[in-house]
This record gives sequence, C-alpha cells and structure tokens, in this order.
Amino acid sequence: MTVWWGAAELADGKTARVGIGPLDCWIEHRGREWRSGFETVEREDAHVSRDWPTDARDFSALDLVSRAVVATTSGEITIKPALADRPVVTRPDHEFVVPPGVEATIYVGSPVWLQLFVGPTTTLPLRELPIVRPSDTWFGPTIGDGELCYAARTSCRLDRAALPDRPYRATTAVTVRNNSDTSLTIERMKLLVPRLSLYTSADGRLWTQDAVFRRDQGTDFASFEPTPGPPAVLAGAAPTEISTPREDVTHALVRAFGSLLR
Amino acid sequence: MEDLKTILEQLMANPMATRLGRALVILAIGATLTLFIPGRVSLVGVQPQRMFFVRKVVRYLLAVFTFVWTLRELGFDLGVLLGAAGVLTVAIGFAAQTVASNLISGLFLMGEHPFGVGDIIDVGGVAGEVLSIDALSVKIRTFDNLMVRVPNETMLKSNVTNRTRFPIRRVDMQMGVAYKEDIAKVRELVLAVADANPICLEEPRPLFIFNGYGGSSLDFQLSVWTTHANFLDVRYTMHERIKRVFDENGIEIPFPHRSIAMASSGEPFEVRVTSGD
Repeated sequence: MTVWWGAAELADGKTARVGIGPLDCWIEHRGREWRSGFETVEREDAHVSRDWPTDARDFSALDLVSRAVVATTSGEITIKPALADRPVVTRPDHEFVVPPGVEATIYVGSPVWLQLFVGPTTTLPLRELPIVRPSDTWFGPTIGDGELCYAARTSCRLDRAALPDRPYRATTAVTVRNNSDTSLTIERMKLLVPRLSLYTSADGRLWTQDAVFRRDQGTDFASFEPTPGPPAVLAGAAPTEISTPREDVTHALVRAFGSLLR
Repeated sequence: MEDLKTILEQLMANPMATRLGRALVILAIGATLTLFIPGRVSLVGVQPQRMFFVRKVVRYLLAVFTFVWTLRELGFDLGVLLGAAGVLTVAIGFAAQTVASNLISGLFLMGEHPFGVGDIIDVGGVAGEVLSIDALSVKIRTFDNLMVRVPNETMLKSNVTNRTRFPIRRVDMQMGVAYKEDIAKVRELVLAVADANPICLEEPRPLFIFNGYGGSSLDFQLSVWTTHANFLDVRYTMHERIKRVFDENGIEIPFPHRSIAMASSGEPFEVRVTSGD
C-alpha cells in the first residue's frame, strides 16, 4: 500500500492534490493563505495518488472548501492520518460466537481521518475530516441513555493476510477473552478509538494499539482494555507512531454494556 | 479643632445621636453585605438558574435583616410593625394569590427540573427555546424570534414536551405510493436511502411501517433516528432523496383517485380535464 501521509513543501502560488480511496484532497498555497477543498471520486478502494504540485483548480467546484490564514508564508505542510473522534461501533457481518474459555483475536477496521497541518508544529490541525464519512449510530442500553458513536461493519477476520487494502481504514487486533462458562455472542463492539494510538507498518498499512475485550465469570459486562505500546503484529518491525490518542487515557478499563454482548 | 471636639463630645453624650449613628453604621454595613455577598455565594453542582434564585433569596434575606435591625436601633417597636404586617399580609394574600401560586409552582419546577435553560419545549401551543426560568414565569423564545412569557402555574398544570431532553430523536415521514407498486421493492429502496445517509443513525434501525390501504395509495411510514442538530437536515434530505429514487425507479406517488358513475347501475367512465374554452 502506498503511503499518503507525510510532510512536504508547497511553494507559494502552487496547488497540490492527494487522492486516498474515494477522496481527493486539493490544497492551494497563496502567501499566508491556505485553501483546501475535497471531492468524492468513484474509483477502487486501494487507490492512493499524489499530484504535487499540479495545475490550478477551480475550488468553487469542490466540496467543503475552506480558507485559513496562518502566521507565516512558509510552504511547509503535513498531512497525517488520525483515528475517529468518537468511539466506533463495529458489527460483525454475521453472528460471531466465542465459546467458554476461548480466546480469539479478530481484526476489525475503523475509519481514518485526514488532518492538515501547516508549519513546523503538528499539534493542532488546520483542517480535518473523515476520508469516508462513517454513519452515525447510537450505543447504549436505551435510546435515552447512551452515546453517539460511528458505525462500522466488520468481517471479524481471523486471518491477517485476508485483510483488504484500504488506505482510509485502520485495523485493530481485538482479542476477545471469554472467561465465563457461557458462550459469548458478539452482535456489536464499541471500540474506544479516541483512546488508541495509530501506527504504521512497513507496507503502509495503518494499525492501532491492540485491544482486549474480556468477559469474566458472573457478569454480563465485557471490559475494553487497550494494550499499551505498538500492536503485536508490528513487533520487531520498528513501528512508527503516527498519532497519539485524542483522549487522555486515565482509566484503561471501560465497561461495555451487557445488553450488547451476551 | 477644639470646636469639632466639643461638638463630637456633645453628640456622643446625646442618646438619640448615638442611636442614629449606630443605625447608620448598621445600614452601611448591611447595604455593603447585601451588595457583595450574594454574588459570592456558590454551591457545587447546582445549575446556574437555581444558583441565581438562591442568590436572590440571600440578597432579600440580608436586606430584610438589615432593615429590621436598623429600625430596632432607631427605637421602633417591632411588635407594632409585625402586627401591621400581619394584617397587610392577609390583604396582600388575597390580592396576590396568582403571584403566590406562580412562585410556589416555580419552586416545584426547579425541584422537578423537567427542562432547563436552552432546552426546546412545547407548552400550550407555544414551541421554542427556554431563555430563563424565573420565580414567577418561564420565558420562551419562539422559532420566529418572539418572546413568550408562560406563568409557572401554567407550566405546572400543562403538558410540557421537552424536545431536547434526550440526545437523539426519531423523524417520521408519511408517504404513499400507487397501488400498482411492489411494497417489498419500495421498502428496499427507502431503507437503502436511509442506510446511505450518514446522519441517519444506523442504530436504532430505521423502520418501515406499512400503515394500510389508503383511498388512493398504499400508505406507509419511514422512521429514522438522528441527533437534534441534524433533525431538520434529515427531514429535508430524506424526502428529497426518496423522491429522486422513486423517480429513477418509476415509483408513482399518486394523486387522489375518484370513480364517478352517471347512473346507479352504469359503468364508470374516464374523465379528463382540459384547459381552454
């Protein structure tokens, strides 16, 4: 997979384009002003392309056009991926059952955001948006009590080699441990994505920290625990941490709702 | 300087002057406390509207206390005042029943907290944003920017609908298609429109409810969930997209149909209205 993120220079008066999956991001630099706009294009999921620089573009034809004024005329710009700003609820395509005493590691995907930073610092993005806007969804025991999340479908793959190439998705290795004496049927899982770090592998694939869902004896609840450090799949491969968690992790243990994992 | 000293000594020897001086000091201290202390009262976890009410109560109590103590220092017999106040209270009570009822209703509203400042509510045919919850009334700003004052007594006695109490709400859309259409296909198309709209929540799942065989159409309801912020957006975009999908798939949204017969046993005949003479 080709890497679409990184730091670059865009000279004054120049325009550039970055294509990631179905999204084209257009950037224009004019002195202290930066313009950005987006366009959805029908093409294959694995598409990654860059035109840097390219011919001037009519920004009035683009969506979500924004102009920003910065302190300097420097042409330094950084494009980074980031994880979602809300938890992501993943639903298996089919019912997924983990028998008692069994531990299974499944690979689930979550949407990735594109962030634009201008200048040397990369703490506050000038602009950010999801590459593919995920659907909103509600996660909670009732419609009055819960949390607004993003929805994602997952195939709950057990085989890492079967993961599709999608540059706009990050993969999380989720270990489900059923320590109880009844089967655990997974209908949906809430991944606390804002609390995870994002890493990249040598092949350009995006990975988050690993996570563990643990269900103990005598409870309907399953806890979500991020595993500190880079994902195990990147062990020994000098992984690069691209972005840190959006939320400060003060408690690594968060209870999911019992009605959703049984 | 000697004259001033003499005057002061004479004043201090005069009991009335001493009392007046003490009363003025009490009044000054009381007025200062009344001005500054209520603003500094702060209770953790109390909503701003209730805090505002608490501060008002503290201010009034300090003012009354200052007033009574000043009068006492000046030598007024408070017993007489209390007696007069008792009679006055009865008279005022009869005249101020509505005020008292609103005041007490306001206390119950604050305790029950069915809505807060900023919520969108419907009461007595008025819908709008709650601007303030005061001692006697609730102020509402309607969607066309009018200010409506609703007495607290009315709020307590009426059904109040709080549109923004819960984070998500359902958008119900009534539709009808021609009798010749395939209900299963219509269902598939409208649910696909809902699934493709990212601001329609994936869960709770959109609902397709068949309402019945109408006079001119097959009637159904599509219900989708969304956040408050996206409510109007969903209501508009869903109708627009469903209409487009219906047009693309040749699904007819019928006009009302009527059959006219000239005689009790006659066959109905086709009627076509044309313009012109």
